[in-house]
Amino acid sequence: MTMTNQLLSRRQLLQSVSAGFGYVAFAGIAAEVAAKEPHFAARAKRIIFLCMRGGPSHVETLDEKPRLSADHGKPGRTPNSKLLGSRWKFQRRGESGLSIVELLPETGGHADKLCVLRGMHTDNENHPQALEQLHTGSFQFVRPSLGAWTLYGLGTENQNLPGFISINPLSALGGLRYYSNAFLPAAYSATLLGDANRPVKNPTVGNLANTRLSTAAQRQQLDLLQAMNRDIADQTADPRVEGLIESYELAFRMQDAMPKVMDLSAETKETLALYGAAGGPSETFGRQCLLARRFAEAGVRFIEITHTEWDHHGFLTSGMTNNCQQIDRPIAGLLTDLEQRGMLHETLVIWGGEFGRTPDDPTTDGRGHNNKGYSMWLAGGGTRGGFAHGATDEYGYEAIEGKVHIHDLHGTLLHLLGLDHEKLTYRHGGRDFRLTDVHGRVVSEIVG
Amino acid sequence: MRRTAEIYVICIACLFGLLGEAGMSRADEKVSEKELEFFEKKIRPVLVAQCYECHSAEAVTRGKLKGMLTVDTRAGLLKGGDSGQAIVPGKPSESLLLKALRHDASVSAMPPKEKLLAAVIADFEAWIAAGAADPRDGPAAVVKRGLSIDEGRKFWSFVPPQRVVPPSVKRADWVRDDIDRFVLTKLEEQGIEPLGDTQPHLLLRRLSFDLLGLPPAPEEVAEFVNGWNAANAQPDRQQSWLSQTVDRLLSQRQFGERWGRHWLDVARYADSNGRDRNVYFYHAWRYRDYVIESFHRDKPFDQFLREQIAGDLLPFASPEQRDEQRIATGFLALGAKSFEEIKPEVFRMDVIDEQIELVSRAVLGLSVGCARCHDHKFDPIPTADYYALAGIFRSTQTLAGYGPKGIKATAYSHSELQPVGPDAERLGPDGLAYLVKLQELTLAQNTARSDRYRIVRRVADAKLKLAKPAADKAALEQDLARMETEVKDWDVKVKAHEQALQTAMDSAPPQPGWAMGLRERESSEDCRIHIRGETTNLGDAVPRGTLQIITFTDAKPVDVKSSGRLELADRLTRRDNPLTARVFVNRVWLHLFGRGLVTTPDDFGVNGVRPSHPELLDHLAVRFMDDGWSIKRLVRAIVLNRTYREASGEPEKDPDNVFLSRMKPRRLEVEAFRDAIKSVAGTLDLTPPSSEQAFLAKFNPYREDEYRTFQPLFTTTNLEQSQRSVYLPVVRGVLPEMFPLFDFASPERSVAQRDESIVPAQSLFLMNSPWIVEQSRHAASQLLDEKSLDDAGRVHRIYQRAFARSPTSEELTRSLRYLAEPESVAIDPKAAPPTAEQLRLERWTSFCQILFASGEFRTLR
Repeated sequence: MTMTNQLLSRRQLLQSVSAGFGYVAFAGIAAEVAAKEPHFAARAKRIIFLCMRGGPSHVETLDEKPRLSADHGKPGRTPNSKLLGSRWKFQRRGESGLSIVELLPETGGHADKLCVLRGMHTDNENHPQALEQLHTGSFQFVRPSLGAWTLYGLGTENQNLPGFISINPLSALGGLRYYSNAFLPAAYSATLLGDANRPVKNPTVGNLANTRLSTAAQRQQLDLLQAMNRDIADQTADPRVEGLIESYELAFRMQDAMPKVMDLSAETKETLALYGAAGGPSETFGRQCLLARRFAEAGVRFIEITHTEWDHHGFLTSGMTNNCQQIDRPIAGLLTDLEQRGMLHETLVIWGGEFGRTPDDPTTDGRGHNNKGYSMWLAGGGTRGGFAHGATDEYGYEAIEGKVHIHDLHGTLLHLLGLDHEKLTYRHGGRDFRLTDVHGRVVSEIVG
Repeated sequence: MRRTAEIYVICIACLFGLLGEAGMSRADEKVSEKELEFFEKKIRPVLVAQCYECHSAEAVTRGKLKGMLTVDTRAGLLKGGDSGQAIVPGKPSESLLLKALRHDASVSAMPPKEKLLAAVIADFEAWIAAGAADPRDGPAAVVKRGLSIDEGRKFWSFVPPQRVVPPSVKRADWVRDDIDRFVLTKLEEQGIEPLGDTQPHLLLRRLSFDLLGLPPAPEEVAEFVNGWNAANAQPDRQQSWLSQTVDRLLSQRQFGERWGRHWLDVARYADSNGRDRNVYFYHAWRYRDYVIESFHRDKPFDQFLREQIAGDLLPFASPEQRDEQRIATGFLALGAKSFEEIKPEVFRMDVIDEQIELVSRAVLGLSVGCARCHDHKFDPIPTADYYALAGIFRSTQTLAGYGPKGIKATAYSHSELQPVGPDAERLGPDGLAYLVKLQELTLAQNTARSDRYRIVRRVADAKLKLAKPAADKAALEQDLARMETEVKDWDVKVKAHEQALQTAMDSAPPQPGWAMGLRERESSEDCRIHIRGETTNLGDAVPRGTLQIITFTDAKPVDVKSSGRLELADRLTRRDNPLTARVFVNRVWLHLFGRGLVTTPDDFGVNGVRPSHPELLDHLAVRFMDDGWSIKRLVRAIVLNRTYREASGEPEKDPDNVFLSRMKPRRLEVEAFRDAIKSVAGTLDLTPPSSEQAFLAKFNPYREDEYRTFQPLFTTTNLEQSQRSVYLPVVRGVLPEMFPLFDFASPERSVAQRDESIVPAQSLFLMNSPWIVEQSRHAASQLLDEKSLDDAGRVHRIYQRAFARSPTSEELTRSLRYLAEPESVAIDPKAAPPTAEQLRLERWTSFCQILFASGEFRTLR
């Protein structure tokens, strides 16, 4: 692998320059993020997580409930509520005949690639806690994010780019905790691209661009800085100065590499159209999905995109219609593109929110939070396509079969990445921590 | 809800040949074939399939055991687990196993994921009723826990620090103090030579940053170096010159700011709650200032601790002292709370848990939190000890109010604060009544707003339906008309609520100062053990008290009428407490050498690392207590030693510098880094902010509408002020941009030692951020304004300020060559072309930026 060669040559260089001492520091940061061998043969090499913030309705996307539609208007379990059938029809799609709502026609065209988890459940029914558990496994303590664990387990494939990128991240309500490295080394934290509270069309990374100096002038500035750093490294034998020198060079390269990966201007009309990124309601999410594919191709290990506003207590009809329009083509485009490029089999795509919604509600056009049963889907990365695992009861209140808790999901995702969730541990404060804490069962049924 | 039941088991089934006593009774009786057949057909398969994964000898071996219960032997079932005996033969109603199978709320539901079929549960009931015939002989698997109290008393950190006779050393001329003797004797044992003293300008830079967190001014450097060199070859004179300098530094208020911040890391200080409802703690700054002031005035550390745990209960001689002690208890009120938690009991126990973990980590260097669910895995801390402490905090009210924000989700009252200031007693009651009223009015207003919105939503629904062809138009229109009238009614009501709130605010009574903190609850109570930490699974009550491992025979029992905080404070600060002094002196050592004598500064337990110099640690601890717990005397003693004075350089042996033959180069913490940049740039204001200037005081807690969004009003980049970094607001999750980038201690939990990361995001900040450019431009224009200097003089000046030294001739040449060219800036075609003067300023800006970004600036060597 080229990575290893680079590392070795760098190591040899450092050993010859400063008797191996500087290497200690370089190894400190480089080894943390360098590509690592998984525990066993991996199915997936990377993850693209499409996080639907707010909790999308499972009974209007992936979990068809004929009984709910039949009993529409009858009293529900929630006080003063009525059962609310889906306004939209479900269709049998693909050879597998997977049932998918008509609101997602293009995603439905990929039914044979989707592995739907219909028995999801999680511990808390509030957004912040449930989102935190979805990302970190815990909502009581600050714990490393799934992306940070992934990077810790596998390292990065491209040292000019961050290994964990979160596009359109949630920053409010403690959101930054969802992407944090917590007690893992800082090298595993997410690089944030934009902010879900202040959405912009072309989000960027903090301080990535120097608007004051020409590139040549900045290089000149950096040369003098690095000359001073080398002096101090020689004088003090401080191993970290060597790490600092490397870090400036990486930052300088990132200034160049990141915008290049993020520059969509050279994408063809066909590609933009494929992702629904040429305009219209799907433009923003389409651009983000295209960006995710470009990051994935460039070797970023974990990419997350947040799509907000799925908290449909009211205006369910218009909300679902609009949201599905925004995400349907981009997701279909992403799956098509990954497949065309031969990347889908090693890229695990995840779709889902922090929980689902109640089959009933006191209003006539809204739904409450439901953490006891909801759906997510996985695609690619060694999962079983055209397959649905688990089920909720006949109305969609609770998962009753093939139940998958967030801990089980996490264990399964790590498994697909070639990591044993019981062995991927990090020692902190006197004990070994895991993403799945003391829980988690690998859902082997969904492995293709 | 699934609690993180952190059940761990170290050891494995040891098969010792004793049968559990309960196991014997059935074995002796004659069990019918039929009963056994029933067991084999109906019971055993279910146990194997559903329970063994987590409740068997194999689960023990694999570390998967849950609830300390094994069900793969008769003895195991009868012995039971954390919740008690699993089955009582013949008595189904008393058998916890059956309750668990029925998913009875009083016990953990089993199997946890799916309830068994009713018929299967009926089989179990019949089996237990018939006497629970069970042929599975043999003892229950044995699980070993952490150290017992008796074993623990022999562990090094639980033995009170001993007075140690300082060792004799060969090079007696090298040592300045006993501390040096302890260090040198180890070096001599190892055959390592101390590297020798550092250069005087570096020593002063080291002292200045270590004691004040600021770079020395060029004049101070010159003065110190002159005095040092003049006393050259006269160790006594040099020593006295050094001690004069150290005393001068120790007397400055900046010492309190620097060392107070170290404590604020441990105290997980923050100006906002964080978590799901990130409301501001408008009054937290009083605690921060209390900490700074305490370090500045060298308050004895034992008193400092007593005030923070029980300050409200201590006698006082003046209202000022009363306030100070009240404010001190803010320590325990500043934790992040889950205001969205709707179960009051869970909320309460979570707050208590945070307090227990804080006290144990911050003061004792132990993590007690895991004893919430089970006996400590390693340390001699049984669950009962946790609940003894929990009783103390259950009998204490946490005053963490922050003004009325109209949060309904929790039963927590947001108006709980304590009044301070000269008129506290007079203004307090009315002031508090006003806060309560505001809270009620805000809640009423918000409720009315959401009630109104609910109808607005239904109006919209109706309009949508009306647009559909099949709609029953007449009925819908009638509905719509009625609802639209309702909305108008609500408009009036909402307006009235808003008006009422406004009126209340306009006629606010004069307010006292407010502070967060603690007070006694009206009645005190012991806490019952929460089995596996669950609030619904209660065991016996434990009398209030502290950890047994730090409690010796003559400990005063807790007064039944009080919470027990006074006794806790006493226990923590007694001379025979083995941990408090050791843990603290180790942290002081860590801050001065970059490495603790114990390298796990918040784990002095069995899993922590043993001290590299146990005698030195004890010497420091005993000396600290002998010196009246004076922090300044301790710091002074350490920095006056040769050990602190050593150069940093390349080691031949001992790469981790365990034996202290030299000084480890250290990185400036973010506060010192930011303050140093601003100090060199001339943009730092050393005056502490007054209470009116406190960052959050600019925002009226009762008028900001943040309760609608619960999002802080700030962004990470607008948190800038000219005062020292310690005064920047610590809004959890919205820290000043530089802070998380440069390893600020996460304010979510107690932190004894910060990380030292090197990540490209730091480099990008120093290369490109508007802030660094602005500071560099300040520094540059200041230099260019010094008309009496030529460019070489200017380079000298900035090197002195930034590095406490002059440039070498090579550095000077290199710098002047860089500065000779005008800067090549990105040109804005719309603006006027930059003048030569501007381009020169930009070039100097780039140059100053290089110095700030350099490893030398950020490194303390």
